[in-house]
Amino acid sequence: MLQNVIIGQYYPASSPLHRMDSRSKLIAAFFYLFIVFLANNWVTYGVLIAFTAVTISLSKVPFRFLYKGLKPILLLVVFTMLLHIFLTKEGDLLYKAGFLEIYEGGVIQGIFIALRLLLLVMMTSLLTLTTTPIDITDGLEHLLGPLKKWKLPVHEFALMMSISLRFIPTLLQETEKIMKAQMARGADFTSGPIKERAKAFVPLLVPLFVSSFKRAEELALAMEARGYRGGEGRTRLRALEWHQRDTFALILLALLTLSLFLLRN
Amino acid sequence: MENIITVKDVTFYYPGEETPTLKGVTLDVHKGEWLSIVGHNGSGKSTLAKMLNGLLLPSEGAVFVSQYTTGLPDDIWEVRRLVGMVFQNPDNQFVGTSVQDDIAFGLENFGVPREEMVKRINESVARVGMEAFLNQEPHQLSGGQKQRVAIAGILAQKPSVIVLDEATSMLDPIGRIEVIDTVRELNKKEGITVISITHDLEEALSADRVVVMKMGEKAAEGIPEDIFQQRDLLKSAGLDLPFSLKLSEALRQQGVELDKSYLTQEELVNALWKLA
Repeated sequence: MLQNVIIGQYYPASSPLHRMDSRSKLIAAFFYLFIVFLANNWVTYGVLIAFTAVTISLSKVPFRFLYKGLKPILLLVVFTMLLHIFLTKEGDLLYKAGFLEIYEGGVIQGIFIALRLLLLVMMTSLLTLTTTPIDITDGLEHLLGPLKKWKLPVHEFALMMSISLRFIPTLLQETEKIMKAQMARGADFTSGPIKERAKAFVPLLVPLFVSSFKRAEELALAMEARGYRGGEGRTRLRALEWHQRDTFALILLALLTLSLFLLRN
Repeated sequence: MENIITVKDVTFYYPGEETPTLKGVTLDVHKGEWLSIVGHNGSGKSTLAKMLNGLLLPSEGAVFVSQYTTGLPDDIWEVRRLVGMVFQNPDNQFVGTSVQDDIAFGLENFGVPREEMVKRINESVARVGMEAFLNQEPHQLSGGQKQRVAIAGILAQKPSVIVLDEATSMLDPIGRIEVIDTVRELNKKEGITVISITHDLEEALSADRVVVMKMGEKAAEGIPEDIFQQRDLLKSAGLDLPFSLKLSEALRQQGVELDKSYLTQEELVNALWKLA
């Protein structure tokens, strides 16, 4: 079961989006977070939806994978939409029942807010769906590099991330092993009331915790033996390559921003 | 013979401990040899291993590697580059997310430029026979394969010495053979000095010289043939004799006419089938 474990939610495929440099994708996703707020009428939302739809279809990621990312926030989307529908009192009165009044402005506002949230989440999921976690880490390290001047431990943070990513499968394997060992001695992880089940996990977590400490100590020793002495003067094997398509993507995003500015009220 | 490592009168106390873990150990490691350091748990052999590349520094005495001294801050990185170390647990020394990332780790630390890095990775991965696995992730590899990747990571740094600190003790028999064969080839063909720290006397049979550690002191030093004849010494050091040696002694006690006790299975078989 662990032979092909996929960390994070990366969807392996070969698409223009997958081939983009992680830095340009990070910049684009971050920028997108802001320009979504520029849309304030049907036309601008239409432009945004079209842009997002094209990007999604370019990524070759099946929609059900995107939907998985959306599921946890659907409730929030519906809730904020309803809140706007009932509380915004603008435009013509559409419906009135007792103290409930629904105005046209409220309905429009509610739809806009819901769209905004959905677009945001879809674009950011697209980033993690088309970029491996290690590439995201590398990209972040490069982009945040200048912050080292202000003593921000950017290299250490990136190394921490990549070591965590490397050890996820190892720890999963170990968990499975310990679980089997406990089950062989009569532990029951799957039935009984929640309280009992939670208790059953204690003998699983303790050995896992202890061994993680031991691993950390040994790994530190092995890293020192191989000459690790912090980020200073280090070179890197993983090279990020900025292609024309990355520049092109950012220009496209700039044009989108411009059109949003021109078309908004 | 030229020395690559000289351990001079080294005594070592772990912080806060009264009794020394190493007591006045002096040791020469010759260039190009295979030296086995054997001893029971707590004999100080692993501590001695960590002295060799400056992971631990002597409380008294000194360790010299080539023209460098482990105790000098200016020398320490060159010492660590020259003396590569393979540890016991294959998983806990795998830093990278894939084979090539892991081999690159040491090179990145030493600031090797990228083109040179790629060249050295490809070359060293071929020397341990793992070229087909460059992009594999650690959990897809066996223990023996992970140890070979660790060796490749060391080779890429152009070392003079490889220290195997119980590097085969967590492996299955096949993995063990894989690793030992890889190291033996490097030792014979490329003249890389090998120091293997082990409690497994079978493994020590591959060595040119054997050092026996006991209670933090060097109890004996010599070629395997001599060392393995000293049964009482090995017993008092808490070591188990190799199977072929035990068998030949048992046979001699039963009156089988063997002219000596044989160290390896092959020698013993050769002697046995010639018997009338």
